Amino acid sequence: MPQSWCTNRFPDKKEQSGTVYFFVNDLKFLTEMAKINFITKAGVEMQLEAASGSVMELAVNNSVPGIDGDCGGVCSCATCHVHVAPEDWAQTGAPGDMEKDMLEFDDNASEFSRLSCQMSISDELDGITLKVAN
Amino acid sequence: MSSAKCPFSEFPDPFAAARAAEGIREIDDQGDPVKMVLGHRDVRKSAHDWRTFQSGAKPGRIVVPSEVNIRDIRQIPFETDPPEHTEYRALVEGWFRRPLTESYEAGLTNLINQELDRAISSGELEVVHDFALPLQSRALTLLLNCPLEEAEEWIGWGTHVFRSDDDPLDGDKANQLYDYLDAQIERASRDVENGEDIFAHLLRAEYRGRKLTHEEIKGVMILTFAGGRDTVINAVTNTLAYFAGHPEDLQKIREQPELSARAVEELVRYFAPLTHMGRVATSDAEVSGCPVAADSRISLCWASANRDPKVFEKPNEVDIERKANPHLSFGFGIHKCLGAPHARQVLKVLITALTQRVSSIQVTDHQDNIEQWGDFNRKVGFHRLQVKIS
Ligand code: HEM
Ligand code: HEM
Ligand code: FES
Repeated sequence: MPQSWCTNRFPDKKEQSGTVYFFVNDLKFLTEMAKINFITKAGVEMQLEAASGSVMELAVNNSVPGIDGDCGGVCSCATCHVHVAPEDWAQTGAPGDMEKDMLEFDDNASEFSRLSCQMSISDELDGITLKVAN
Repeated sequence: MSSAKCPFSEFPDPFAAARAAEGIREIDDQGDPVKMVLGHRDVRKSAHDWRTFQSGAKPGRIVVPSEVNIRDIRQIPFETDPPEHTEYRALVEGWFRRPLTESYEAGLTNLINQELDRAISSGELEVVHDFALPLQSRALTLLLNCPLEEAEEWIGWGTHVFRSDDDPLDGDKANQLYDYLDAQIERASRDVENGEDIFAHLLRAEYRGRKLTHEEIKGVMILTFAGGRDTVINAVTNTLAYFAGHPEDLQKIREQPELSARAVEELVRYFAPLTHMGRVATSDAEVSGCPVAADSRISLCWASANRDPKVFEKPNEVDIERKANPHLSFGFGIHKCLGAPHARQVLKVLITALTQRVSSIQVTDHQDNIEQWGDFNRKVGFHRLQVKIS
């Protein structure tokens, strides 16, 4: 059973690696899972999947290094910063105004920067690759 | 919602007019004036530009009111700039992220439940001294990983370790903390290998191929007592005041516990427990169209930025469901608050405990704590908040 079946259970960060949690409610999402590839600063690739929640929640629940989600996803901490692979930019779309504000003075920001807490998971994001910025 | 004006749970924004007009306002401080930067974008921009606006000035100078006359010791990493800042911060970053672990949250829940039960059984109490101060002190033992009993001494120091009733900048009072830290570093150095508290952690740390000096360790530790004290005490007290005035919001969280994380961010935005923090210009510069001379001071006014209508819809209203909330209460850029994971966890656990244990909070008396910055009068919290709680 893929571990990512428990991934929309944020902010229960406790329920992470090792244990597989299964929620009956998750079944209804099974048809629309999106696979998302993360590449960490250290170059480790992680493929995770979920059907709902935000990309930050998916990453935090699976302990992706460099994505901390300190503010719980309200766009105030920038600890969920990712660089979208240029070829996937059309799929993710550009950041919203507040998100752009928070990225404006971030030294690691590029033209493909997003705060992953502001990216909602849907099948539109299926297959994208995100490089963790920090 | 704010239908009727509540006399104790409103925190007005004194900066609105100045922020909209010139965006910056000079105030005096012991003959070393400070230009307060008020707009969200200007605050972020100046916080980001650490080369022009440094923290590593003379110790005490970036704090407003300035503390240059009452201390020589440098706070670390707070009063340093890169590259030193980056290296110092790396030594403690991991330690300050421990609040995110399950066992930490469990310990904190246990502790806060006990504080609340104590409050409920007494029925009536003064929140600042009888609830927020002991809660903050005891919670800090978790962060420093030291015995709970240590908190009794810290509680005895009162709400601010540097201030006595008759003197806002009391050097003697600071000495009490310094003596305590000297003794603790001395104690921890007797068993560096096995020690499990933050003192032992710092004694083991390597900085640029050497151990930290006694002064450096003290510089780090002062900050955990100074920076994490009034801020947390105000945040806790104000949270109780807020829910006393807005029981409907507490009820909402009771029904939807997943709102608690957003509620914490929104309350922290609204209260902004640390109003502003200074920087010293390293060269002639300009902020918001206003010249800033080399070696003069600016301050980054987090509290004003948090009410900037260019960024926040209805900035003066608390909306515990606010989704995008880029507040600056914990700062911005390289110096952003190291204690934030702890502070957030304290508030989240507190709110959860309130929803589970408390049915009513009634304010019976209060005395506001109003800061004066030039012409600005800002309510940051309470000197006293008397409540009935059940
Ligand atoms: C609600 C509570 C708190 C608020 C609102 C708050 C606010 C802030 C702000 C605005 C800064 C940035 C200062 C600057 O840019 O110059 C800061 C830095 C800092 N805070 Fe907090 N703080 C809180 C709690 C704590 C706690 C509990 C601790 C530790 C026990 C702590 C330790 C620090 C440290 C060490 C820094 C300096 C970080 C650096 O320079 O890299 N704070 N805080
Ligand atoms: C050695 C370091 C520090 C010293 C000696 C010190 C000293 C003081 C003094 C004397 C006051 C009272 C000012 C007045 O009433 O006019 C004060 C207030 C305050 N300080 Fe500190 N401070 C230190 C570090 C910090 C840091 C690092 C932070 C936050 C990151 C901080 C947060 C505050 C806050 C929020 C208040 C207002 C408290 C209130 O009035 O309720 N302090 N500090
Ligand atoms: S989680 Fe804080 S900004 Fe995204």
